[in-house]
Amino acid sequence: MPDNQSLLVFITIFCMAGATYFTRAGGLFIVSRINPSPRFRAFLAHMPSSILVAIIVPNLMGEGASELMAAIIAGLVAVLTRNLILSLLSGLLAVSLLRNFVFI
Amino acid sequence: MLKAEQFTISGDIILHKPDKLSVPNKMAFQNNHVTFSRRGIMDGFFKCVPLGLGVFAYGLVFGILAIQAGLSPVQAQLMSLVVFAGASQLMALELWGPHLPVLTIILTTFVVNLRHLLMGAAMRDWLVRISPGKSYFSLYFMTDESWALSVKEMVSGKKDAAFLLGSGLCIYFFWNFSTFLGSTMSFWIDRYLSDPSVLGLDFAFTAVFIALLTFFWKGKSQVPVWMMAAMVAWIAFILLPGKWYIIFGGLAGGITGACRNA
Repeated sequence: MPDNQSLLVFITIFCMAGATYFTRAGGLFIVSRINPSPRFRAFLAHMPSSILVAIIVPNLMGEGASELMAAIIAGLVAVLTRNLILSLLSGLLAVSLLRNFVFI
Repeated sequence: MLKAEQFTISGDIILHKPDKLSVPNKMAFQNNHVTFSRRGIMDGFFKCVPLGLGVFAYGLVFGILAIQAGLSPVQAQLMSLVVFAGASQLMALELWGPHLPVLTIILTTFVVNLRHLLMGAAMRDWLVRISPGKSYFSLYFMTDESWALSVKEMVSGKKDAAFLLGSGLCIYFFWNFSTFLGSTMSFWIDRYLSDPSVLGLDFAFTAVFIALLTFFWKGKSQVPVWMMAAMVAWIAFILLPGKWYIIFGGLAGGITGACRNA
């Protein structure tokens, strides 16, 4: 990896850290001045899961049948077990079996 | 006064009925001497260990995927040490590539972590009564898990604000230790396996995000929000270059949720 690229990586990581700390410290800073409205709270509450949806959907649209079926399997395992590792492993197992033996 | 709120592990907000909670809460702070002791740190640390074990699994996944995404073990560890925010670290990996979309990564990190604003605000009864230095130091280590535990302590009338720092340090320890194990493991897999797609590792991100998404499920009211997020993301994916579709989809979902809930 060239040197300026790894410098960019470090800058990115530290800017991420700055953005994160800003949100952690900002709440206490603001709280004595402004009380967030219910509408704004709802906005904040729905944003993280919407971002996940926005990552997943375009990713899957470009994929084949193996990936779609494995995605459904990973989702089902997550719903049933509420366990991230189990869901990840079953998704990986499903996609490698489907790719190599079913939809070649 | 701020309404008492509680976040679940996944960062969603549950609003409590204020009539039940605010009264004992107010009374508990009538006599409002809040301390910050070493015992409070230890207490928070050990009470948080069960939650730390849950975080351990996420950290392992982060460490493994960080190497697959092209970070070095040192960079992955640095990210866990200074950023220390699971969901946004995983999303950053999804965006990672030979041409780093720096601005998108930083914006996504910021937006994903906006919920911290509310969490920090909710800790006000403790944090305005200790020195600003201790408050802002403790907030560096605040996570969904340690916050949930600390707010429970605070609302039940405990007076040692160091609990927030102690529980945060516990999560910090588990997150970084598991990042180390995961990235080391992944480093050796990469070394000895010429084509990791045999294992389906390229699919790992999608699987992780789908699993995380199911943890956010709180009922049917989520459906229109997620539909809107999916639609806008899909359209932005076709029309716009780079990864802007993630931010547009997230904003669209947030706005839909705000319009329906208020």
